[in-house]
Amino acid sequence: MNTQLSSRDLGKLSAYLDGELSQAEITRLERRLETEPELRAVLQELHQTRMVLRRLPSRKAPRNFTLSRRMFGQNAPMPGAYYAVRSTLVTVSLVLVLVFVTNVLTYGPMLAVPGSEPMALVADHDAGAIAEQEVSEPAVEVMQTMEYAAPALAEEAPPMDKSVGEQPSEPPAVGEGRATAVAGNEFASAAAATPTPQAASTPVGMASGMPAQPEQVESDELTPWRSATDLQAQEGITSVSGRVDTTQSFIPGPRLWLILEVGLLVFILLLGLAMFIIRQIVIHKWRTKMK
Amino acid sequence: MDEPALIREAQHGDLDAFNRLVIQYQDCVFNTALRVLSDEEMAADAAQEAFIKAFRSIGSFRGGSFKAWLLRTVTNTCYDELRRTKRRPTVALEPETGEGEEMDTPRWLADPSLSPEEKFELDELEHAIQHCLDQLPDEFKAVVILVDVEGLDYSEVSKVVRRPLGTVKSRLARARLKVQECLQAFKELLPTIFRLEDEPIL
Repeated sequence: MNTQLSSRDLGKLSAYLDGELSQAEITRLERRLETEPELRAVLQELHQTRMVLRRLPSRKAPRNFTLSRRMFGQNAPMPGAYYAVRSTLVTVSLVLVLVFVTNVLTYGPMLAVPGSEPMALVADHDAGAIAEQEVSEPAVEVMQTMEYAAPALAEEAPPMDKSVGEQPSEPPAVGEGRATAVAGNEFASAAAATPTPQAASTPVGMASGMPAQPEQVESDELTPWRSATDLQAQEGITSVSGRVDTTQSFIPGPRLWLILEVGLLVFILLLGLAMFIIRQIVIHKWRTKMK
Repeated sequence: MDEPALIREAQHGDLDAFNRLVIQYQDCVFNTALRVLSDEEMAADAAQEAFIKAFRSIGSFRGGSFKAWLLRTVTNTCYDELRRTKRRPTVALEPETGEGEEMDTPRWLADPSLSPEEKFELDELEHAIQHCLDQLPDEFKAVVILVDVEGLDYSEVSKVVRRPLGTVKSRLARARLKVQECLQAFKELLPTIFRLEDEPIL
């Protein structure tokens, strides 16, 4: 017996005996068998062993294993539909857990229940600051995009966007109700002082408390340079000097998470109900037959 | 009634249909359990338990080889039994007589159609092979039994033991090699077995 034989060769020899190799593998192996006597010897040994094992007599069952209803008592066997519903239930439950964990990781434990506000953030501000936050909150993302995008745009943007570099500190004309026109460093500091998870991780236009969509369109129309940055933020363009965390831009808002979680929960409850009903019907039929 | 129809009926809770499948496969199921467990009583219990489990979960059968599906159930039942036995290692590997002595040629190996010499030879052979199978790890043993004793192909065995095809292939090869090494010890006892050199391989 050649102990140097690799386990792959051994597997191939064994599969060769059982006719489990492809035609190409058979051809290759037979070519090797012609030139390698050690391989032939191992094949012969495996062949003998296989023959011996196949001589093992088949035993008859010592008794009948047929089943009676009494063996099952009241435990009726469930039909295929029951197992299908059960598998779906398990899968959906796993999805719900995944969604919940993602939610927690995205918004932090304080926001595990979407829509709740971190108390620490609120406590840091007096009433005036909160009022300011209400105004500036939707604009935070715009500001961040502006702050990061402006220098890059000044270098890389096409001719129309050159205006970005020319008027970086000029307050933009923004539509009513829109995060009103705080630009440049002042804007940046105000926004930095009032970070909200929604603003930090939600694309423009998706943050809660955002003004109505038509106003957004209006502001875009009024200011070409804003329009360019907003569009970039909305489209998640990543080429802006690598500073924009665009992965966050794609994360759905907390309300979407809440809808998703509630929807999955309702679906799970419905599946559980379906399982219960199927089970009751099957057990009822089974008991009727037993009588 | 054909097998798919019996399976469909059984899936709708028809116990009579399932019992017809039991009669069709009980020898195969018992034989597999016997080779894995090396004990007739344990094998009979495992076979019975496997059929009960199979009927309970027949709703989960999604087509394919019903034999392979049944053998998976009995193999898992045997693994459970082996685990229980290993936790309580009190069972002798050899069958015993009424007086508690080990039987050299167990009664259950007997076949009345054979001459005493043939019977003796076959008994010895079976005993030797079973002894060598018992030396294998459980999962290797199951693979070699399913392929070489029950005649399943690799893809069926792969489904039974829930392992990739490559794993089945390598385990089978290694198991055969181990059995071959073990059988060397019985070469003098079983001279006819090793007179196979002249037979064509394929």
